Amino acid sequence: MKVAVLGIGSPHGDDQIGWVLVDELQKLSPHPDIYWEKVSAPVTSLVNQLSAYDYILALDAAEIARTPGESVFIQDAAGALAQQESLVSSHSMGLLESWQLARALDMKLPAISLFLVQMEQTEPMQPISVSLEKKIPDMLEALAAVLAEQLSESVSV
Amino acid sequence: MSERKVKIDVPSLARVEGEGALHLKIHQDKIEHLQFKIYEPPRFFEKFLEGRHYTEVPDIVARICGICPVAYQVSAVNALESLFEVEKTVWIQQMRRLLYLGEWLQSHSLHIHLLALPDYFGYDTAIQLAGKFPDEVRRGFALQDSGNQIMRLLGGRSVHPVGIAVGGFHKAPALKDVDLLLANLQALLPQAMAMAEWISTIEIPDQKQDFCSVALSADNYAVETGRVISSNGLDICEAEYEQYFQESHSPHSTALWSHLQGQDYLVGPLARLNLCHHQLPQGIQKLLSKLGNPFPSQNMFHSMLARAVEVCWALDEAINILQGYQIPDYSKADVAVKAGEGFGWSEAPRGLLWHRYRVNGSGHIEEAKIVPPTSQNQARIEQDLLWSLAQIGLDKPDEVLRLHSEKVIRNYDPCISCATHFLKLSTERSG
Repeated sequence: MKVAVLGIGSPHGDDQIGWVLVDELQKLSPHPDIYWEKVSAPVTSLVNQLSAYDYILALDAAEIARTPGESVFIQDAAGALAQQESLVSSHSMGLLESWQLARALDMKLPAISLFLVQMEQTEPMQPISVSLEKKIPDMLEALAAVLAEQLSESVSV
Repeated sequence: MSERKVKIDVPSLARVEGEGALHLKIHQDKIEHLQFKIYEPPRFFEKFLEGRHYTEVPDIVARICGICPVAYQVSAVNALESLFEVEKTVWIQQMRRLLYLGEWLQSHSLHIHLLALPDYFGYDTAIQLAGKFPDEVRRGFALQDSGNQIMRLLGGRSVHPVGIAVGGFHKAPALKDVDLLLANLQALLPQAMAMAEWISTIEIPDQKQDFCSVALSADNYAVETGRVISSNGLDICEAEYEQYFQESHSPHSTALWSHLQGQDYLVGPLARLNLCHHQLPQGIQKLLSKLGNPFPSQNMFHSMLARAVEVCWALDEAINILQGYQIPDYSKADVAVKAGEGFGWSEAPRGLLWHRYRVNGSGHIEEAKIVPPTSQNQARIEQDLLWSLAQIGLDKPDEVLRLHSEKVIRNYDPCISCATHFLKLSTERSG
């Protein structure tokens, strides 16, 4: 089973959380079958990458109407990604747009989960907020469990 | 008497570097007021660079744009290497060119297939286009991926690559990786040619207008360096840029506007082909003849074909460079820091990108100035809108005016989000 963990973000404030989680998670779960990638919007290469994996875990900062640092895990996000409205430009080319384009092109799509973290600020070149930093150990624990489950499923198959 | 007020707003999107808006006021079938606005947060990077060591500059400026990071890196290192009088080997120069070609390939392929083409087939999005032309869009993504492959080879990764250093590259690619890439690019060249032929068959408005083209010129088709020339006879070096090009604030925009001796001008693929098409190699000239070679052209809608031709050329040029690839003795030249001011430029996918840095004796940046292509095209876009809307007829319904305005703006591939199909129109009518 080919598994990819994608941290989506930028160097600006809490938007770095996806990248930080990829780095830390890689240290905790150095599994040879996991492909780790820190990507930045626009993710122009994602359309070509999607069909290369069986399972993708995408980590991103988001506005999800929670308190900063709270996270939401969507186990099966394929349906949600297919239904969201997307704009598709090379400058707003993210996971959503790539997913919908890949669907339109009848490409083989992987199973996908989303881990979204409520952000507090995205100030240019600023560090992550303390509110998010405090929650990183909890986030890592939850994500490590998700990956362990995915990998154990692939072994049992 | 009738009066129409048309306001087109571009809302800000998450992780989008830029905001744009168009305000149009029509009175008695004449444009009374037209303002095209751009906001460019990436310009703040000039301030971020102050106090940073010169070695940090390539990685910082790469963050200015997710689509053309190499352009920012190359213009920056050109400026610093010029100041430090770095002697670059032929290998370093060729690899800079190759990396840059990768960026052109991915940027042009994406613009053609994701942004521009839906306009010409009456679709709102590239997703709809993909449903109708799946093979063509798949081919577009394959071409885009070829650019990403080149950027990964030399930059370590395709988004915000990290391979470039002041003086050269952090490391040289291995021969086996070069061979693999070369085979991929050779297989794609016929597909690129087919793409250009397809683009040439797509009907475009026959609208010729008066504008000045500005681009780099060198011994070969200029990408990573050269002298700036224009269709009005300009011929200058990097240090002379500010003598001829002036940036100014406009009350209706936070972005700076560039003018060439008081006039708007065009930078980008169409300007390059207008000025330098004769430098394209025989194979691409043959293709151009087959396509009816419209260059030089004063029809802005030839921009998409210009991008398509540059995709073919970039692929061909990349193949030529890779065929002669050898492992170098060293991938990075020695750098001796010197205080002073350095100037550099290059041809970003969207056009000329100029940098100036003032550096102190310890190699730290004291002042930085960056003039991106979208700033340079901003006045031209506004002039084009004024002209084009009058051409199609101001008595047309608001929706027709809005769609045509979007098409005109997208034609320039501006580095802002207005290059998508999401402009909002509100109309006020009186009289």
